[in-house]
Amino acid sequence: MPESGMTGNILLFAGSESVGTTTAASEVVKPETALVERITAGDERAFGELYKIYAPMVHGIILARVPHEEADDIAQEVFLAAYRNLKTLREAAAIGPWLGSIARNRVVEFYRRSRPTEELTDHFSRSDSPRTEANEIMAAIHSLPIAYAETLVLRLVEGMTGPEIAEQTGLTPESVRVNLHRGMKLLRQKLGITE
Amino acid sequence: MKEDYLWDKTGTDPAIEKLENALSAFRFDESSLQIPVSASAQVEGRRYFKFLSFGFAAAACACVAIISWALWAPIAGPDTVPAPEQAFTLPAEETLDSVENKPNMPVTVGVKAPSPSRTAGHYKKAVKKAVRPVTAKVKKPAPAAQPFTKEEIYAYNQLMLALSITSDKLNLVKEKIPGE
Amino acid sequence: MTSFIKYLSAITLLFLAAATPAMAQDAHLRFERLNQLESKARDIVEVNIDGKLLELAKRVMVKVDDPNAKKVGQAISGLRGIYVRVYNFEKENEYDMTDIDDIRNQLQSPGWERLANVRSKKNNQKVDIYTMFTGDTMSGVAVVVSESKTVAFINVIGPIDIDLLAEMSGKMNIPRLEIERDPSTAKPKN
Repeated sequence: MPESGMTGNILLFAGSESVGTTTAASEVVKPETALVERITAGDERAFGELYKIYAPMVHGIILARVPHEEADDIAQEVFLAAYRNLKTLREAAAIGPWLGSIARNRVVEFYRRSRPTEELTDHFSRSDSPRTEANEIMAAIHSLPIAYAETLVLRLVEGMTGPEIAEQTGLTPESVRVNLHRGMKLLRQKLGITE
Repeated sequence: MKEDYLWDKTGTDPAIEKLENALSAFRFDESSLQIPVSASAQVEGRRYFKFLSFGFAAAACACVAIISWALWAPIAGPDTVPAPEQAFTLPAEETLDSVENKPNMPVTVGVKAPSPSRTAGHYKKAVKKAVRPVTAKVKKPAPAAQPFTKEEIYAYNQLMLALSITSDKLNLVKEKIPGE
Repeated sequence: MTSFIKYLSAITLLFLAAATPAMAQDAHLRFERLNQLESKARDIVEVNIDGKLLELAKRVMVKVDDPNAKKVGQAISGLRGIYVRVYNFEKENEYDMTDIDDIRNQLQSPGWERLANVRSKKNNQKVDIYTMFTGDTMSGVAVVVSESKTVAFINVIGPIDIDLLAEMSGKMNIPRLEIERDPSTAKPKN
């Protein structure tokens, strides 16, 4: 059974508080907010800028859940959906978590469409994919709890720092730090890396 | 400090840096994705283009095959490559039965190679292809059930651990209920 | 027809947008704020199983030739995730009840209903079982156990047969599958 989108909700649940607090406390308009306003006004170039900012996050969220060869196509679908439906976003500052939510839901749809045997075979790179080091590490990350896996992919694959992950996903910095620390601990155990 | 590197990339941590280098192959590549500006047209166009390009490739391959055969066939004499239906006949001394008794032995079918004088230079490739030994597929008995993979074993053990703890805790309530 | 599909898509995406900032009701408990317990505990058991890991485990359960495993498989056929935290302490009452209030508060939110509870003076034991239903379907179970030297939280996502699972207590002698140890693998740290 594909991973439910509800598993991703634990991240959104933590994220919603920080977004609300940030918006209430600060009078400075985030650049992403201005971009969203430009896009809804019809500025397509602004969407390109938004895409450049959030594509690594979206790609990372997807990559934490699907084989890497599928991630690009699903990311494309996410931005397509976002472009078409940006006007339904009620709070511009929540664009990051909103894109993350679409990404997670798209992954659920992806698994609904694909056959279970293919999904699991590809996921653990058991059959035809060469057993490269990268595949081994990704397989280990995929076996972690999704909250850890997602944060680790954003950090180790996409190269985002902890503060960047918190800012874009809407998670609190504390949650991101916990996910990174615990996730890395588990990953080291799985890969046999001593600290 | 190691934890700082994991958090905000300050300091160094060789182990984490090694992971990052290994995983960089999967990093988002801006050039690989197209910004879906004219959304539906872009995606539909990409899908259509993929189909179209596949169709062209298939047609091109077919053309090359037909032309190659048409040019090569008159040159090849009766002694070179046997008709396709003969190419997969087993040598008389070996039958499928004897082969099935030796499941690990591939069956090869030899085809008489053409004499060099009959083969024009630029058709060598096509001829070589035709005389390449063919391994017939022999039906082997079904292999024994594969052991579980490491991932399956790990997942199973973890689940059993979680369920045994859950079961014990639930039973704390159940055993206290009168009459149960 | 086209306008109907567009309408449906718009509603779906509106839901998507609303789902993000809204405090969606779901059966997941948040364990992130148990740092106090972590810092005081002598040892901790943490198990998180969902998604693909759960799928793998269920597949093994079907293949393992054991009647108890089959029964357990029956009890958890609808399971979508299970998260366990057990904290064991060196001495009695080493933790504060406020440390676990965060979890108890989450279980006061709408959707959770207390199914059963037990209070026992022996070991100062308190056990609470909560369930959450979505319509007629069980969507989650939570178990909170506190004793003088142990605190345990269990969060189950999806329907399970609570009675059957409780019945299996002590019968979980399902063969544990051994992983071939790789000599280069470091021992996990507790």
